[in-house]
Amino acid sequence: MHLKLNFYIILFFCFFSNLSFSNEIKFIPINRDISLSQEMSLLDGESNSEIIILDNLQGINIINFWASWCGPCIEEIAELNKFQENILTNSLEVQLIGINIFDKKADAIDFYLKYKPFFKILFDNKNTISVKFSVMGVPETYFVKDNKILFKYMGKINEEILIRGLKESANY
Amino acid sequence: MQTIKYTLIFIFVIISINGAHSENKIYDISNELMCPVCQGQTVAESNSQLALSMKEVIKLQVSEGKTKKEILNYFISQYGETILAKPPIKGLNLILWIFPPIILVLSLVFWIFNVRNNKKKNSLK
Repeated sequence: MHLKLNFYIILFFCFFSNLSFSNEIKFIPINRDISLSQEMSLLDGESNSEIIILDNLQGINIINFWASWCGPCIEEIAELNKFQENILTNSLEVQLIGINIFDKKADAIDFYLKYKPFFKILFDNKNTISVKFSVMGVPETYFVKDNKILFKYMGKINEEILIRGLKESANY
Repeated sequence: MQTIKYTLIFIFVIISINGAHSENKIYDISNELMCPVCQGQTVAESNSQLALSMKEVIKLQVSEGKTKKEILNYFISQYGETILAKPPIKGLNLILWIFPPIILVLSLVFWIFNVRNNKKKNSLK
């Protein structure tokens, strides 16, 4: 009888402890310096896009890694656009960058034309940037301040999480 | 004319040997790294997008003349020691290396002891 009661009490706590954590925004701390000199294509909807060097990540940079075949990446694009609008209207001191990885350039361009993100979108020509950031999958969003990766968010992101990440980055 | 011909052949052989050496080195290193998003596959065995990116980084670093140790250390700094296919023989990892032989020896001793005991019991009967 006692054993059964104990079992139900433990089950009850497991269930409710899980519920209380489920709404929490979980940033994964990284705290690692990053020095980049990466040749990237700036996506503008044309195949002969401009080549730029991504090197100096001074100030706060929010870098979102995505791929055209990834469902959550498609779902989060509206939220990223909303956040970019927020940056522009409120002159927030942050740069939002989207980097296409694990993808073909033609598919990345199609995605760009279809969903029209209006923040800086880059394509990784050398297919090595994911290792430099230790990306494990897509979508993943990194919060970088003065060439230091502070933390990352794994999975579909929204404006609320982006604002929270920006605030935490500013206080770092 | 003959000299030019032999020089060209010599250069071709040297380039081929060098290329094969680099390929072997890339394979060797990628075989010592686990693919972080795969189940029990090394980077060499995996065809996942991340493994392909890791192979690209290895290729780049090999072409820059970096040693195997330097390249492995780079990946450890990016992903932690769990990226290594063979955990280093130090700290808590020692358990991984010491435990299996100990278990094997203990099982053998137990088995021999049991067999002898059974033989004794049978002979007494």
